[in-house]
Amino acid sequence: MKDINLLPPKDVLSQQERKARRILLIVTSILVGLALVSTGALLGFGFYLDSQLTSQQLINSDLKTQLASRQKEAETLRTVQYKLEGIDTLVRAQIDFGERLERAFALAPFPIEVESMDWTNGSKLIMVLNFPSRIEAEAFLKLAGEETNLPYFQNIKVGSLNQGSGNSFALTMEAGYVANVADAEEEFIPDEELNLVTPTPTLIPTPLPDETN
Amino acid sequence: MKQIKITPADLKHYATYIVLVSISLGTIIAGILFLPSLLQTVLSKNEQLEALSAESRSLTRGMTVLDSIDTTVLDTYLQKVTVALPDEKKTSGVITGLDTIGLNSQVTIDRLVFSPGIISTSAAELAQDNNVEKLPLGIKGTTASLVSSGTPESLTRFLSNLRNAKQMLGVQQVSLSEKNDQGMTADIGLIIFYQPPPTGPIKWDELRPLSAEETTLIDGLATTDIFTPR
Repeated sequence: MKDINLLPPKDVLSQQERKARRILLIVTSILVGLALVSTGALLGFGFYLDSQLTSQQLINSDLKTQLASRQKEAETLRTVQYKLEGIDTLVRAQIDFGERLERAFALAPFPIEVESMDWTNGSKLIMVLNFPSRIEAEAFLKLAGEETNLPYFQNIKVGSLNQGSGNSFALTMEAGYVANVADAEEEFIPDEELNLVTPTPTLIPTPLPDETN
Repeated sequence: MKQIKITPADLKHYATYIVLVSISLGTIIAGILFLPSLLQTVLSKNEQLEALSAESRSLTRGMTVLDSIDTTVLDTYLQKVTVALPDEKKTSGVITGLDTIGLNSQVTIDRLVFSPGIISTSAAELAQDNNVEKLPLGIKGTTASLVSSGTPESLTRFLSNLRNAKQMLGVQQVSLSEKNDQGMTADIGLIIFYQPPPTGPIKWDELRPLSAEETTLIDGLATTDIFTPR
């Protein structure tokens, strides 16, 4: 039997091997290179960060030492600002009852007498007025009916109008107060909230006993 | 089954391949094992540095704010705001203060009902004080009821003066009734405010200089006795 060599010639095999080795060498080099570069970069950046951290810690420590000696000043400033915020809140929320009283008394000029005035329920005014005669009472009711003349009071309603001794009349009224007239038109107080009683129209035009005599 | 025999000649022939593949595999394994933890360490250090930088900025800001403030002026400001809004429940001076305002407004104080409750500071801090109304910003208030008499004009003035008193007072309700031909009686519901100072560590980054509005507000406050109208 005769042997036949089917393998490629030796020089061809060597060429293929060289190519394969070269590729493998390149791949290995790239891998090792990448690993070395990334490790080096990370280690380098780590060392840089370490130095930065040390430096920053020193700076912060120095600042803290300086600020520790000024702690009292800082606390004073904080307290001042905190209290100012509180004062501002209270000032804004304060109700000017002096102004309210002034405006309510202006509703009842002499000779009308304010028997009582009550501001116990937010912006609701309850007032009892005494009129020496029907003329003043009617004039007041006319004025109250035209709310444009009384910009600070809305939803004026008369609870009762009673004739007292002689010519005098006692009137109980309720109204909603608007501190800022500019907002008066926007600030609508519903009737249910005020819980007011609408006056009966028969009260005003009834002829008075002294006039019929 | 055919047995594969590796001869020393084969090993010698494939040595280069074996070494290169081993190096590649070793590098890959080492990379997988160590690089993430190394990266994590670096990122952690970076975060620490950022935190320290932020703290430094905050401290520097605090220092700049403190440098810009005149401590003498600041002490005066503290005195003023503490008069307006005392640190603790103020009982002494209330009766005299209200009397003084009444006198200045030409009204007579007929009756004062004042229930300050626990007035010892340390005890008040520990106990649940039912005589105190708690409001926003840590503001607290003690209620009082006052009956005074005078003319409509003087009572109006009295209420305005109460509003403008140096110590923060709140008028909650007013009821007026006729007393006699000349005068009226006013039943006034009062609340006397106080505000304990803030506690806890200073947040340096929240420290800021006083604004123009705050300075204006302080200028409207007085330093002397508590209840005299401003």
